[in-house]
Amino acid sequence: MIDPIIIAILGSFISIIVPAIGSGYAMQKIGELSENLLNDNKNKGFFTNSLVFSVLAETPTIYGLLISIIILMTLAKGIDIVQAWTLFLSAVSVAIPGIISAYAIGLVAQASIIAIKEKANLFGKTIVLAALPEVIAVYGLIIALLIIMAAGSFGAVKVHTMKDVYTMTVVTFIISLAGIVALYIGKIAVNAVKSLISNDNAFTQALIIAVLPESLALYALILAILIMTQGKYI
Amino acid sequence: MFSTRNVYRVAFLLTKEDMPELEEALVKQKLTQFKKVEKVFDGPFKPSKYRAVLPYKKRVDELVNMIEERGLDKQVAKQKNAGQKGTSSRAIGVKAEDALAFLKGLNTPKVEALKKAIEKGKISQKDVLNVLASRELIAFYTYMLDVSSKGQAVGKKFALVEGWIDKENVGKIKTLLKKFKAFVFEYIEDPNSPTLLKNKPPFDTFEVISYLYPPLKYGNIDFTPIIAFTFPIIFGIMFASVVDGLGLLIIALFYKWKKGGKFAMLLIWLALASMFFGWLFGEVGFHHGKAIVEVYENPIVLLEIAIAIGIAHTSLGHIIGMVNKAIQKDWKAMFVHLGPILLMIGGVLYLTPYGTAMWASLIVGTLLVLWGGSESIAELPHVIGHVFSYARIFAISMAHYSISTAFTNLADTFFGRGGLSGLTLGISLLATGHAILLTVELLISFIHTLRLHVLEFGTKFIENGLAWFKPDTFPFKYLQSKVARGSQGGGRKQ
Repeated sequence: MIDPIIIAILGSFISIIVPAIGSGYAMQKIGELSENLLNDNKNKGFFTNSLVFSVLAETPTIYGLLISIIILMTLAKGIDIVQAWTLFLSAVSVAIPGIISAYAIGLVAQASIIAIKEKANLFGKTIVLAALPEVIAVYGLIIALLIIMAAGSFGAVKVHTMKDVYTMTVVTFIISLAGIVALYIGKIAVNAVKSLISNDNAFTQALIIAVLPESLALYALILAILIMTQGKYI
Repeated sequence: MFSTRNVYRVAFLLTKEDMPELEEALVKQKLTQFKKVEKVFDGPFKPSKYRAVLPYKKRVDELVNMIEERGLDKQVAKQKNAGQKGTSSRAIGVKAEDALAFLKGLNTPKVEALKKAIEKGKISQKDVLNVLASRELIAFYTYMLDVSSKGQAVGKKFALVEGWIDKENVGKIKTLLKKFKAFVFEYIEDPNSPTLLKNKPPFDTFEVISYLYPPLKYGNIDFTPIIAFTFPIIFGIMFASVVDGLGLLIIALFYKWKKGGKFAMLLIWLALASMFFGWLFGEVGFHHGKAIVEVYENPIVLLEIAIAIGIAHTSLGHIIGMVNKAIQKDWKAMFVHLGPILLMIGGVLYLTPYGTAMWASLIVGTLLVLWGGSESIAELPHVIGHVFSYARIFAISMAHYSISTAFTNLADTFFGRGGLSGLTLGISLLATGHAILLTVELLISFIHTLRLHVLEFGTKFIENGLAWFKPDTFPFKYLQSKVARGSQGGGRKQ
């Protein structure tokens, strides 16, 4: 039988390394594009603005880091095999939506950088659009936190048998599958950013269209929370 | 406060020679900026476009007097007697002499026809007022003056200046224009004006956020005073920490000292909100302390607070939408906005023993949403979705707390070792942790607060207006007329 600590540490590793792959890829693309566009002084705030987009792409990894740290802190309290698997599942919940979300943020951020190079005043609007795919990482984080709470990281342990682990697996599966929505949001948001270059008054309409697929992820989040409520994990 | 009706449209005529001096005076007083534009005016003369001239007789008389003072009418008459024809006037399908007659006598067959149309009520007073504000009318006046002066060696040309101005500055503009003896067409409130926000301190600080929204429709209420409360509350919960709030306050004060401006003030307010919620939730120092409201030891309370904020905030958005629709006298849309609010009230009543009230609320709410048609029905899933979206407040606040706690605990282990190296490493770790919080977490909290305000809250009431008004982006346009050569029935440049 595998040691619970190894399972938990593996979870800790996954929660940070998987989103980091997505964030790293996105930051590389954003960085390359920014470097290429830095060659003229058309827009003085361009450098700072492009940095903000890089930081935005990094956020899913920060969420992963957070879960990773909480898992390691929980280890100090002593855990059994059920808690270990629950901690592992919390890591998966933040990792899979995180990697897809980071990749999608990268797509929108690249379009946004081109847009703000053309029109500096678009920064405020494009940053909102670039943050749209990140919401999926936030949903992953919400579920990861709820799962990790059930594992006793912040109070009483609410998972006692493998049946509880299976329930958590279903919850993790739901929120991980919903992660794919980030990609759809990202692709629509890229076009929304492009439309702002020609007409920045169309922001609200562009935002609403881009955010429509998010409802699907939101339903997944609600379903996951309902399952956890019914199982008295919350 | 709450009003977006802060802009007047101004249009006046001035001799070209006076333009530089007036331009200098206006820019010096920071009333506006100028931009010379070239515009092709090539449409044929259509009386229907200028029907409003008739009830505007008084202004026409003033214009005619202006023409007569400069002796232009005599020169046109002389031209007529000499058998010359104003070829340029034909470019838009009307002779110069007819145009003068149109203005002076108002007794040509076309004008008579228009008079009858008004008498028979075919043209409403509302239409007349709309046309009065039209650019075409002003362009026509300019044209008349220019045509009448063309080829007469008068040496004077007229410039049409038009643009929008802050209502507060109208008095100053009037004084200046009087001094320059400009012929003023209008100081009017135009529903198609750009929108200017004018809030008193401290609410004006939050205009920084409002201007990130799409331009509000002129006349709709200004929501800035509302977000002056909601923005710091939501941000403060996400970024709740006295220590990090203090860090942000120092950064904001430094920024204000170096650069000043509303954004620095906004950061100060957000820092204060962060400190307040930090104190409320027990995040006073580096270690979690005694809380007034314990949310981090019992995170479900935080999730409940987040959902409650979602219900209140989205309802507030619908209430603003209702007020806007009431201002526009669109009563149906106003009641349709009430539907989602009732649905949310029904959802809250589900948690109480008031079953009858819950059902009444849900049924009436559903009926109102159905009454709104397909667009309103499509919005129905978002009633729940948008509220749950506020769960991010819980996630981001927990993230902030957990990162802070993790770094503090790690630093403690080094402090526990004692000695200079332990102290240095401990302090370095604390500094690194809070540096992350003050960059990444600050950005995340700000963006998500902004998103909740633009999307979940703003989409309930935002109706696109023309544009945001800023004197530098809406300079006075200085239309200088010049007839296009070589065109019979063609265009002319203005």
